[in-house]
This record gives sequence, structure tokens and C-alpha cells, in this order.
Amino acid sequence: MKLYFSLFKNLAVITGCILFSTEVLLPQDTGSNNMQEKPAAFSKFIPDISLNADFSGAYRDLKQPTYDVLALPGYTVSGDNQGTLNQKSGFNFNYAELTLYSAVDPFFDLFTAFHLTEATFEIEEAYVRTLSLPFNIQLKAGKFFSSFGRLNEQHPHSWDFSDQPLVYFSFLGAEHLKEKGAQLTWLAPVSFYLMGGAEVLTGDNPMSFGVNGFSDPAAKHIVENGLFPELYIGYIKSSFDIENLVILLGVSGAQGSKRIDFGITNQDGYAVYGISRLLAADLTVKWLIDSYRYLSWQSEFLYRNTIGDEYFSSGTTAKLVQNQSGFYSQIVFRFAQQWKAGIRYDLMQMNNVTANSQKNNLPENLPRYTVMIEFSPSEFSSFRLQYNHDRSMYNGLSPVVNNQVTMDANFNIGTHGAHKF
Amino acid sequence: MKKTLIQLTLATLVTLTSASTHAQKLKVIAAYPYIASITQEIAGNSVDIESLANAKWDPHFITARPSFIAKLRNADLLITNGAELEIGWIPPLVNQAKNLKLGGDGTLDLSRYVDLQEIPQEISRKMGDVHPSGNPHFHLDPYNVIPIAKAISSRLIKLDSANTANYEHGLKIFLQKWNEHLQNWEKSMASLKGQNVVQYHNLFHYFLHRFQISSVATVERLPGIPPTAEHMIDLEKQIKNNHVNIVIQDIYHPDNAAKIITQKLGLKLVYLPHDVGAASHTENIFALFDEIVRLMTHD
Repeated sequence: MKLYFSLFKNLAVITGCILFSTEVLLPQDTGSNNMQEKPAAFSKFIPDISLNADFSGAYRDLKQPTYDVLALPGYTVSGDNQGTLNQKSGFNFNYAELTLYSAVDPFFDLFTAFHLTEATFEIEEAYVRTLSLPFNIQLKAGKFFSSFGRLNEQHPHSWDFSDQPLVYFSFLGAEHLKEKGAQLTWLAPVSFYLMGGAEVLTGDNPMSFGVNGFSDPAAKHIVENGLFPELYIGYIKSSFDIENLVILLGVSGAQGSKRIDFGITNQDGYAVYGISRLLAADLTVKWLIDSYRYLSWQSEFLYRNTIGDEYFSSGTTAKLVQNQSGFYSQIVFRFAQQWKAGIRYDLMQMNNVTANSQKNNLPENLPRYTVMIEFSPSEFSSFRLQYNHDRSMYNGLSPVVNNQVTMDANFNIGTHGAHKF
Repeated sequence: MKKTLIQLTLATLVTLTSASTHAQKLKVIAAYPYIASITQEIAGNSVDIESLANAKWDPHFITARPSFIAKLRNADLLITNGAELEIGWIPPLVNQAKNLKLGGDGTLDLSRYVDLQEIPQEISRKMGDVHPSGNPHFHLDPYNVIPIAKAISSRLIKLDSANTANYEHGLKIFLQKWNEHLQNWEKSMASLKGQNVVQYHNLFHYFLHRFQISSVATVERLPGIPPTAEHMIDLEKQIKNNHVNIVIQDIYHPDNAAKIITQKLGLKLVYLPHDVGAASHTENIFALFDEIVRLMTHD
């Protein structure tokens, strides 16, 4: 307690010093002529700080132990549900997200996001961006959400629904493509929005990529750890307006090594090593009715191809080929300043997996239906009631229907965040 | 093969980027139409000017369309209102535009050239979406348009000194005309001096303050938070106690609450445009104030 107090005191003193000293240090705007200038806001030297907290109550007709072992055959395995949002029947403290942002100097700015759960503290994002590169180029380096697709780079509190689309969960995992690496983006010199980007990333993803090697118990086959960045991503995004209709579309591709260990050291366990390629196409059409109302239609389609080998604990191997796809399509209607409602359709479509040219008999066309209504007392708080009718999950070999009601509450304090489109 | 590809890419890059820097006229992007109008009055045809926001939208909540990024990419100067009015939409646009020219003198924040009012003593979101630097709608005091015009003119001269004479002349003519209009507006508004009014949002604070009209309450409960039934009862009391005759409604908020209360109490409901192009007869900055004054004073 005493420690906290002295820490706080020190912080206060430091802050005081910063506030005081800036008065002297502030550069004078030379463009002022005979104008009376106002000093810039002192607070700009303290990073923008904000905290977002998310709680939810979930009710489902399945018992918790049954829900916990559900999987989408061929896409996810039993246990992947662990640690997802709204996982527990009853109350969930989903996360608190603390963000700090500031310019470092005239050349860089720094953004960090700390993802906190009851038991964990994670540096979710920490990246610098260049501010002074010529030719409309920007470099970003550190740990960040990839700009692959439309939804990938959004933090959960900006999502329209209380969970991620099935295809994101299946191909990119609960935490999406969040990687260490570097990104280069370029804005084309044309009259409409045309952006291209390329990323070189570690490739540490639990669903489609992976850097950790493995070996079977007898060490007959050893797959080494990935040593170099092994995930390459590229995308082109474009947007144009037709009056108050805003259209945004993009195509993205990713290629990287896949190393995933499904318990190869256990009896009957196996692991996969190969190359995964992802292709994504997204389309958002948003009709801005007035300052507060809009109607938005957003869809994303993802396709995954994996070619590699399956390694079994017995020491045998098999040639693996996966061709899989899925999409979501959602409509959100903000019908008043404080109200939004939405529907979403998820479908895991293609599920073509062969081992040694032998087709695995996996279910295809697995759907989920979602509706939600959201009330925001102010820009800084929101309550969302969501219902999922999920027919995508299996308990072992038997399909299971999950009906779930989620009440999600989200609060934000600190700096007023800006809204990207 | 690889080498030729790289050379080709570089060549394309150089052509594309140099093509965009050879424009003769200064490209100015204004955050709001009133800024574009004042700039147009001063600069005439010497600059290309375009406004991002549409006057029919709530200036606090402009959707950050990607097309704005493309506009900012090619701009030489961005003129913002400032005082945190654009905090919810401009910062990410500027970052994504990756335009070096917008650093330093390439951005002009007009709020730094006027005296801001209603600076909150205590800053807490309990009071709604307050602006820590003060009320940002300062352009609605016609006297504030003078320092705004001077600031714009100085910045244009700094960035485009070849046209100095044009900008100086433009400013001189503009200020002459503006001072004539000011006298007319003073005369017309004198009849309302000392009156009490109610507004939906404290949008017209600077205008009312200039002409010594008191804004005693707002239809919205707190900045950014719509009215509740309870608040409407309270508002009715305040209207009666302060002998309010006029309720001012902006053109972008829902007007049902203002309609109900003015009909019930027999008050005058005035729909005031706040920006150039927000309503008919507001095609430029002169017309905007002519129209505000006309709507306030006619019966």
C-alpha cells in the first residue's frame, strides 16, 4: 500500500515537472505573424491512455464440460474453445485492455496495448510506425495485428458482435494473426483510396502456421523450430464513395510454414508440418443515412490450402492436403444514436482433407446464425444482447446444436479514441 | 529478370510520385465547409479547396471514410477547426494518408487563433462528452471569423509565397466586406439583446454570447447524450423560470423533443444552420450569418 502511494507520489512529481518544463520548451509557431498564439496542450507530452473493460454473462443449454470439448471437425480440435470470449456459462470477465499511444519524436510514434485477463498480462500490441518516410510509405515494426483481411486488425471492443466469425476462429485462432514482424504500406497516388501492403512476420499462429518444431517419441522424425520469419502477407485495399454509400473492398494473401503439434508425444497423437496459404476477400458497403444512422453490410471469405506431412507418434507419416474455406456475412443497422441491431450468417464451407490421397470424411457447410441488439448510453459504454444458434460444432463424431445468449457490457475510460472506418 | 523487375518498379514509383508533386495550385483540404468558404473568399482561384465534412452532418461524428485518406494524401495544407472537434475522426486519417507535407506548417489548427470559451473547470465524462479545451464551435461568433481569416491568409502566404499579393488582397477585400456585414448583423441582433434561449446542443454559444443572449439550458441531457423524459420535465421548468421564448434546434439532431416542448409551451422553434451548406441560403460564409440572423430575428 505504502509502495503504491510513494509510486503515485513520484509519478505526480514527474508529471508536475513535465507540465512545468514544457511551458519553457514549447517551440513557437513561426507561422503566426502578428497573431496572438496559444501554447499547445501540455498534456500532449503524456501518452494518450485509455482502458477498456469487457464483461459478459453467457447462458447456453449445453453443460459447461460438453461445451468445452466441442470442435469444428477438420478446422479446430477439442480444447480450442478454452480462453475464448464468453466461454463460461454465467459471468465472464473477458478482458481489460490498456492502451498507450504517443509520438516518440518527429520520426516515430509508438502504440502499445496490454491485454489483461484475471490471471494474465499480455503485451497484445507494441509497435512503432514511421512518420517521416517519403513517397507515401509507412513502416510499422514490433508486435501487431496483421492488416490481413478486414476484421483481423480490429480489437474485440470494435467488433459488431460479441464473438469472432467462425472462419476467423478456425483459420486464424482466437487471437487472429497477431505477430512480431514488420509491415510496409503504401498509398497509391490516385484520386480514390488505394492502399497496398506487405508484411514479414514470425508465423507464430496456432491454427494455420506455427514456429515450434516437434519430434515423435522415438525421434525418428524431427521437425526443427522455425528460425526465421516464415510468414509473408500481402494485401490491396480500395474504397470509393457513391454519395453517402461507402464501399470498401480488399484482397489478402498469406503464406507461411505450418508446424502444429496435436500431441505427437502421446499415444495416437500426431503433428503437422507443411506450408499453408490463405486467401481472403472482403467487402463492406456502408450507407450513411445521417449523422447517427447507418446500414452496413460486411462480408469476408477465406480460403486455406495446406500441403505437408502428418507425423504420427508411431513414427509413420502421411502426405496431407487440406482445401478449406468459410465466410461470414453480416448486416448491422444503427437505427438511432444509441441503438444498433445486427444479424450475421457464418458458414464453414469446403472441408476437403486428404491423407495419402485418401479423403477424410469431414462434414461440410457448417452454419451458425447470430442476432444482436446493442444499446450505448454514451460513446463510452455499451450493452449488447446477442443470440447464437450454432450448428457448426461436434462432440467427437456427433453434431451438437449450441443455443447461446450473451449479454456483453463494455466500458471505456481515458482518451477519446478515434474511429477508423 | 529480377533486376529488370526492380528497375521497372522503381521507375513506376518515381513517375507516379513526381506526377503528384508537379501540381501548380496549392491543394487545401478543410475539415469543415465554413473553413473552405473563408479560404475561397481569400484565395479565390489561387488554390484548390475541398471540404471533408458535409455541413449536414454532426461535426462531432464524421465517419472517417477511406476516400478522405486519398484526399489528404494529395493535400498541401489541412485546415482543421481544432479544440478536439475532430478528435474522433481526423487523427487516423492523417496517419493513414502518409503525407509528409501535413506535418509542421502543412496543418493549420484554427482554434489556436481565437479565445476559447466555456473551458471546463473540472473534466469528467460524468458531464458527458465535454471538450477539455473549451467549446469548439467558435466560428459561429462572426467576430472570430476575422482572426480565422488572418490565420488562413498568413499560412497560405507561407506555403505559397509566389501568390502573396493575391492572398493579401483577398484578405483585405474579405475583411472590408465582413466589417460591413458585421454592422448589419449588430443592428439586427440588437432587438434580441438580454433574451434567454434554449438550444439542443451548446452549438451556438459563441453567437449568442456575442449578441448578449443567454443560453439557459440544452434539450440534450448532457453533451452527446439524448434527452430523457425526466430531463424534459426539468427543461420545462427552466424554460418557465427563465422566460424563454426561443428554442434553437440544429439541423442534424432529432427534433422531436424540441417540437413537443415548443408546441406545448407555445414557443418559437428556430432551425439554425451551423455551417456553410447546412440549409438553403447558406452558400457561403456571408450567407450563413445572414441566414442565422434572419432566422433569429424574423417572426
